[in-house]
Amino acid sequence: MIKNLPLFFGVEIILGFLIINKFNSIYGLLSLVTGHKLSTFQLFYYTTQFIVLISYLNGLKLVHRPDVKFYSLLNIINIIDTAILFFSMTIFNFNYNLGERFIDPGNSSQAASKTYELCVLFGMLLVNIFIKLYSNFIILSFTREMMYNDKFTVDNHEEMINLSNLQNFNGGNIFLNLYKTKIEYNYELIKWKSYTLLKDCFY
Amino acid sequence: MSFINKVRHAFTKNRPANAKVGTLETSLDIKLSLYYIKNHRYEVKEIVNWSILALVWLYVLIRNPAGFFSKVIVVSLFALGCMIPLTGQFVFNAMPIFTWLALYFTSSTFKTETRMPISVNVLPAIETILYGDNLSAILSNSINKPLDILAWIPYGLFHFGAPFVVAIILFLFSSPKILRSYAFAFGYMNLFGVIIQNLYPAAPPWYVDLYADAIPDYSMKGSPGGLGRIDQMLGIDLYTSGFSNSAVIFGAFPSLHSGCATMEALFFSYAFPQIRPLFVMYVFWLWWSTMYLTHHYFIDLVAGSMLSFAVFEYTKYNFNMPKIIADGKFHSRWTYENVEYMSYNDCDPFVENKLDLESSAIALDTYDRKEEEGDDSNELQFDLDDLELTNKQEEENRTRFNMS
Repeated sequence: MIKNLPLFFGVEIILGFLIINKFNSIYGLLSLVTGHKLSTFQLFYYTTQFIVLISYLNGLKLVHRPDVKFYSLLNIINIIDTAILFFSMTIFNFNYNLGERFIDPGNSSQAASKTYELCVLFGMLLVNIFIKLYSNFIILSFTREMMYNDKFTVDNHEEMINLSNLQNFNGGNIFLNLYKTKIEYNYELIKWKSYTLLKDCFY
Repeated sequence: MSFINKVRHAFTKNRPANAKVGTLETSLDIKLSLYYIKNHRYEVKEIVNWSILALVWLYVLIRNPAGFFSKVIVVSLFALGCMIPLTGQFVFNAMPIFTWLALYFTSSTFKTETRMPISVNVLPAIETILYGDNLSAILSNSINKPLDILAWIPYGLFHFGAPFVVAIILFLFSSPKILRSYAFAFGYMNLFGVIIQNLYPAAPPWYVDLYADAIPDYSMKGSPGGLGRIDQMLGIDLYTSGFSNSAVIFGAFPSLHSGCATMEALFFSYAFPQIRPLFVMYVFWLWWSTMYLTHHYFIDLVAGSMLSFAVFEYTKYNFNMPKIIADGKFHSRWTYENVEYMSYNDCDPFVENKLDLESSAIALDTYDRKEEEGDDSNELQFDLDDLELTNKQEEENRTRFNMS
């Protein structure tokens, strides 16, 4: 039963898990409203997490009719986010000062001992790290499968024309022009670059 | 036309002729159930499902301190409820929910010696290390009355009524048989949640506020947390007594409030995809209120939602989840002519849809095969038509010009 699971199902599950884990960005930024002061790193962390959350949401939305270029970009974002996770975990771990926070249960048999709690803590952290690392492999293999499939072929020539049209767009008002030539052009370009990068890796 | 007739007309006006899929079983004949049981083809996943439920029931019956006679009565009532077709269509499919409730209420009677040690320090540590800050503490720091009420609505009111409301709405306005999937997913999510809570008892945030550096033990009473302020405001003793005598006091991880809200949102999003953002907002609201009322850490909410999502995804593709008519219009359960179930192939982007010519790759051997068959290719048909026309023209010419 597990052997025959389709790849998209794995992507759907793992993206759901990642999205739920990224909701911390919303509550982190919400804490600013309560008067809590965030450090510069926390502000950077929550902002990046929010951007990553939006990418994951889009990924989950597209999972049944995927776009190979977007998924290539999602792969790159996920790999960068994995690095951010390791870095932030280290920073927040030092900030938390784990050793001083634990209550010593003494001889009580009903309260958890320090060793037990530390084991559970590292177990939970390891599970989280495993999910994050494994998500990279699942989404990468999904993208690779799309690259090998003719159904998702990207026409290089067409892409070049589209990008060129976006770059030279001059058909609307100033805001539309700015959006097309700067934001949408760069977004399409970055998707295209991630696609070519991953394609070079796979072939 | 009376009001009842108007309602009946609204629900059944688009009902296809002879469609029986939306109707309920009204028989009281036990032989019918026996016939179904005898002739059903049992799959491995069904056997695993019933084995899990049977094991939990066995455990509950052994551990529950109730008398032997009352246990026999409970089992007999459930057996009877399942066997009578009229009640069986509900009781049988809701067995995961009954199993969860049985385990939940038995949890309070477990002996202290057999319980796992209570953890106090892990959850706040995880919250800070993984999610950047002590989010639950920050959000519960600034307290005022309007926020109390805002937090009370989803946590203290909606949470207890929502499962029933969701079930009724799904039953009336969505595909037939979806309630069965909802009961399965909802029951299993809560069942797994209570099992984890029993295996890993953890203190909620109110514990640190109430007992500070005290060593936890199972004789301690629970606390309503922020809901105590609602009791004071309304002059009642609902939440204080309820949460003080909760069946699972050290059941912070995972949050079943979060799990239930997520499950409700997922089913509603599946059945009514047009208003999905509304359901997501509800989950956000409940998450915030849970932390504001000091009932859960952020990691508990994440774990509850992840559990819920995993169970929902399994149910969606493996437990006869009916497909819905997603055209954005009003559909009652009686609008459905038949029920089709979701499978992996319906959503797999790598599976080719034969009807979708633009996105499916054309098989290279199609042309050759057609040529070999040679009978119904369009090209040949066109040639024959041409021939027929020329023959007709020839005949016409002959008659017109009197050519013999």
